[in-house]
Amino acid sequence: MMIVGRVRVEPPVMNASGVVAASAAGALKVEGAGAGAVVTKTFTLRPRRGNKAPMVVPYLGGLINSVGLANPGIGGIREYVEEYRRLGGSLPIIVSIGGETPEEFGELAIAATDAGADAVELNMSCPNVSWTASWEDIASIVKESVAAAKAAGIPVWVKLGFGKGLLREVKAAVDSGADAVVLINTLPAMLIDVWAMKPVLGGVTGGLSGPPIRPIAVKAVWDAYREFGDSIDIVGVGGVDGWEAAAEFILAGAKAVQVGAALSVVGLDVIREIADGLLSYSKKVGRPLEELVGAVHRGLP
Amino acid sequence: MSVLLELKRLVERPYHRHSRVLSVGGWVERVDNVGGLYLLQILTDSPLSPEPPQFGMVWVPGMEAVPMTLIPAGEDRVAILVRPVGSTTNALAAMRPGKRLMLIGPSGKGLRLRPGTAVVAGGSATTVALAYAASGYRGPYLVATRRASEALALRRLFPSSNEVVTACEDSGCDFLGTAVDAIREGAVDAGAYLIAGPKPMLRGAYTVLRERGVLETSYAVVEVEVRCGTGACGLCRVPGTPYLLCVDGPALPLTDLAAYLGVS
Repeated sequence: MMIVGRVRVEPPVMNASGVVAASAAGALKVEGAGAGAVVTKTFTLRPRRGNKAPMVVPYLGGLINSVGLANPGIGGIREYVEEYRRLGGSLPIIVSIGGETPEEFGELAIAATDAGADAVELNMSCPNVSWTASWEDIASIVKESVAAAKAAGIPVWVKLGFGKGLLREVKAAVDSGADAVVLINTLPAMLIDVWAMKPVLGGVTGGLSGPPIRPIAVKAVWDAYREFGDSIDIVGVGGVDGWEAAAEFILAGAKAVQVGAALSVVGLDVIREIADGLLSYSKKVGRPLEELVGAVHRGLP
Repeated sequence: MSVLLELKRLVERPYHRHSRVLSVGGWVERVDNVGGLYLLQILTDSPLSPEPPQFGMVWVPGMEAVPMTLIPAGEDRVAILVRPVGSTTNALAAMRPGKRLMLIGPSGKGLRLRPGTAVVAGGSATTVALAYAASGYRGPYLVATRRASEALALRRLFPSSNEVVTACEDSGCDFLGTAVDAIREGAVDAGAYLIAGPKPMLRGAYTVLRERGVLETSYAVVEVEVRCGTGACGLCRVPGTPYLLCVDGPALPLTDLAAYLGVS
């Protein structure tokens, strides 16, 4: 049984925030597809309409999105969690929250806790909002935000983006007592139609996800595990589109994976395929999944 | 099977699997005025191969994307029927051959109709009927519009072998009245229906089809706000149902739509 960031996630596969589970109905679809936990859309303090369409563009088996954290604001957290439970949802629910300041993260974490969430995931790396770009010292903000969120009393996960300072940010999460880091968010990206000579996305720029970013995400997990070992749980995300991709993340050091673009590009069935495939892989190599976490660092078999 | 062969079988699959939804550019090949609507034939960079009533997000570069039913039009081609009501649709209606536009699709699921299913399409959803006709479905069809000129212009887009009844609220159509009136009066009589149109029309049709005992075999093409068109953002939930329009729709079983339509 996999305990990830103090949450039981069995099988160790979830949706990535913002994909499919934007509503309780979407969360139920993720549950029905065989996930071990559901991650909500990111909630901010104030409602956000998001960017104009097109906000999601399929690209090389992945997606470039400029959704821009469209959400109903802090009041939507309780509504979401309660509706999910009322409709029979039974999985642990990780509420993704996006604060502009550590204080906002604290306020959102309290709302999530009051609503009955099992954990919060601090979205500190969305490339489609202005405030993350303005943060000069992300590591300090991670530290303060985790501290503020921990006061709410539920497990705190921190979702980080790939960049030069990633290991400093992971260290800040470890030092401030975060229960897990989620690596990595989408990468800043842009598409231009050369015939129209205009950006393709309504938000002009966006975030790239899916198989094109997987080797980068695997490297980020590998780096973090090599540096911090078991001192913090890692959730791998970025281009997980099948069980082999999930196994790569686990061997690099992740205890669980999140699936984003593939839920849209391939379909929801990919969750069950990953869960079953990991189980089958674990049997074939003769080791439980828990033992395979970070195995590539130990030179198994 | 040897272990090596078994392992090879496990890993042998294409790196990029089939993507349900594609993002492509396209060139306008032809524009026809159809009773005040604009039928655009588009040559796409890659084949989209839509199956009715799938839709796509369509936009003029630099403008907001809007959902539109995709009409199959042969290899590497689709057509859209534009009703100029907003900034994007006005820009689309003003396009001329050779101009560039963008599409994401096909979104949602295709629905293959059992022979004899009546397709009832009204308002801006008359495109759904055209998409079925273009895919080879023979009907029967009921095309309902407010003005006879529009219905009669649309009628000319169907193959002559198709059974098409027109209904409108002024004289000149086969039936005088709304789509719901036409179903109630038996203008098209079938054991199953696909209803496409605005919500009040769907609500009216729901009641009539329930009275006639054919609700269980019938579907409705639903319209809700669509933001991404891929199912990724999850914002296209059909209220009162477990469905996401871009994934499960746009055609949904009428029996599952009572709460959405507000009928008891």
